[in-house]
Amino acid sequence: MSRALYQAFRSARAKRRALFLPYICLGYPTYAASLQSAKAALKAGASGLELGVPFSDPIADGPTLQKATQISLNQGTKFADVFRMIGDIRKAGFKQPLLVMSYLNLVEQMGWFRFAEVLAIKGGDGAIIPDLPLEQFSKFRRILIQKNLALIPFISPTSSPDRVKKADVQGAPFLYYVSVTGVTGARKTLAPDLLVSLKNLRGKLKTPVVVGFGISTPAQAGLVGKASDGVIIASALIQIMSKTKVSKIGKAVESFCRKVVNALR
Amino acid sequence: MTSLPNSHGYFGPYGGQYVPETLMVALRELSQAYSKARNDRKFKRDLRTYLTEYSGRPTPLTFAANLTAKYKGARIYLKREDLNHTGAHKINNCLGQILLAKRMGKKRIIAETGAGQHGVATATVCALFGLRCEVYMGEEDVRRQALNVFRMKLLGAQVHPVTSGTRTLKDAMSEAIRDWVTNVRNTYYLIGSTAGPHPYPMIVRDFQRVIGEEARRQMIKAEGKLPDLLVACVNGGSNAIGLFYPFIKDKKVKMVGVEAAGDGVKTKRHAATMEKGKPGVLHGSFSYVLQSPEGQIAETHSISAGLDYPGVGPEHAWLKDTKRAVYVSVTDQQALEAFQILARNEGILPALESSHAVYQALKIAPRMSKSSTIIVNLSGRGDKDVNTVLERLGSNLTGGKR
Repeated sequence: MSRALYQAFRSARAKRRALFLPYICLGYPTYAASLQSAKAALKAGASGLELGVPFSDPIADGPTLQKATQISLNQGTKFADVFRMIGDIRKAGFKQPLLVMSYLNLVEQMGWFRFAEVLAIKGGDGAIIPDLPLEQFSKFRRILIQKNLALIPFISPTSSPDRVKKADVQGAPFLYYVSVTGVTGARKTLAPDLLVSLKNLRGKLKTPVVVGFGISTPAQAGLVGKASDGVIIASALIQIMSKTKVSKIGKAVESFCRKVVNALR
Repeated sequence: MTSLPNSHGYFGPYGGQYVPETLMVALRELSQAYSKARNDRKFKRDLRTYLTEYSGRPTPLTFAANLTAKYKGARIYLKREDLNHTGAHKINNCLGQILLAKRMGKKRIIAETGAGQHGVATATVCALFGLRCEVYMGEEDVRRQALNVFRMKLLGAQVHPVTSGTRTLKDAMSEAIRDWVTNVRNTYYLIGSTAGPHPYPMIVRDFQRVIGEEARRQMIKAEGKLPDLLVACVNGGSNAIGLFYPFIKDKKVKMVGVEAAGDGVKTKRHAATMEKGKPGVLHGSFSYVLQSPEGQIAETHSISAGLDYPGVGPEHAWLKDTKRAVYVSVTDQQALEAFQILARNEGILPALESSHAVYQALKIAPRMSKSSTIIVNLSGRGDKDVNTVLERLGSNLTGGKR
């Protein structure tokens, strides 16, 4: 239910504390390990999760996510596994919002109505589609809204003022701000003008802003968190998972997420 | 119909702009620059000059007298895009887009390439205009088309082998899009086919329509009438749309697009997107896509690297649905056969891509009346494919027979 998302952002703003939404790649390195990571992140205090469905041609993703995606697909990961994972996470008692991140074609092939229906039944809260432009937004948003699900618009450093405004009036629980002109991936430093841009942006927006792409460390998350409503970390988390034995992945994810959560306090 | 795409970039349901938000500003910038340029007299004059004096246009329409006599049916004409500078139709589009990039003040050009023909054409125009050029090419294609890789390097381009996914054109295009997302402020992405997000399918078509416009005039001059049939190979679809487009309103002119059937459309090794695919989103555009039932993009196969892409331009999808054009497929083996027939009977080595179209034309010609005419788009020359053909034919090839 998208209501959980709206509530999370309202209470975060009241506490002046940014949310942490880690990204979990479904089926990486295995379904079980990705489920374990998801639960570990939530246990560590993540405010919610972005559950990424692997796609054969992820044009917005850098090498780290491409590789994770490929490994997951080679395992035979199916789109339906994301619903299974949401079900498993809910069964384990976690109540935080869960967002499905998928490229458009997978949702198109499943059909938007069916996607919305299944996502709602399983207990998901919304969807993030990186290659769905604002121009095509409203007809799909309407389908999701009927099931109380959110569709998250993107804005980027290259978005013109009219596009930023257009994203703002979609009534979404938050806007996904791509912090760099580029693909996903951990970077040593934040985009140089990021904090200034965020300040300007937030002054103009009604909708909360969550920042993703290129945030790698708890310290960076802490900085970005002060200037935004939330932080997404993807590639850096995948890199940690890739360097850890499968049996210890849960622990590694939990410890990293805890550090980020603390940095956001 | 000629007013397509609409202002949002759609041909019926096909086309559009399904790209990350970061690129939307670049597509808008490109649309605006192009709509100014296309009506600008100087731009049009410059383009015409380069097409004539640099690429050698107009290319001839050659009457294939020997084949016509041999197949005893329609009079077969070849539109000789193989005689362009760099050996294929790709240069038409590259000259147009490089002039556009220059107008836009872009200093760095990126491109994707499959067979390497578009890469070579891009490297060529970048050398001509003194712009930095980087070409993405699947590792598998780098291997298959080593000669074209070397040509690009000779022309001063940097070639990035792409190791992700299936290591072919689709992955090269994904990688080029990623580069563009990253360097969007100073980089021009020179797409080589009628694929990708709007306005590319329109821009590439507009720069390729010169093929059909010339062919139309040449045919009227040679035969005093319009052709009865147009045949062209289709993958992304730039050479085919270039030939078809100026004839779309001439309802009596039939059009056949030929896709690559690889080992056969009943196997998994083919690239017959419109025959076996279904509508979906790939590389920013909604069109037919070869994909799994879930929507994962499929692996493709064709003997010709230039036909080895699981998508197709949105305008072709629309021509198929409206039945204005018909799309068929031809196997590797059949294309090889046509390659040799054209070589021995007309003294022309066609590109393996174009050989698919030649095969289809030779199949239909005997069933047509002797007063009817066919134009086959000979989109490129076969020199680049000699190694591939050698691998396939090997010692089976004997000289002296016709």
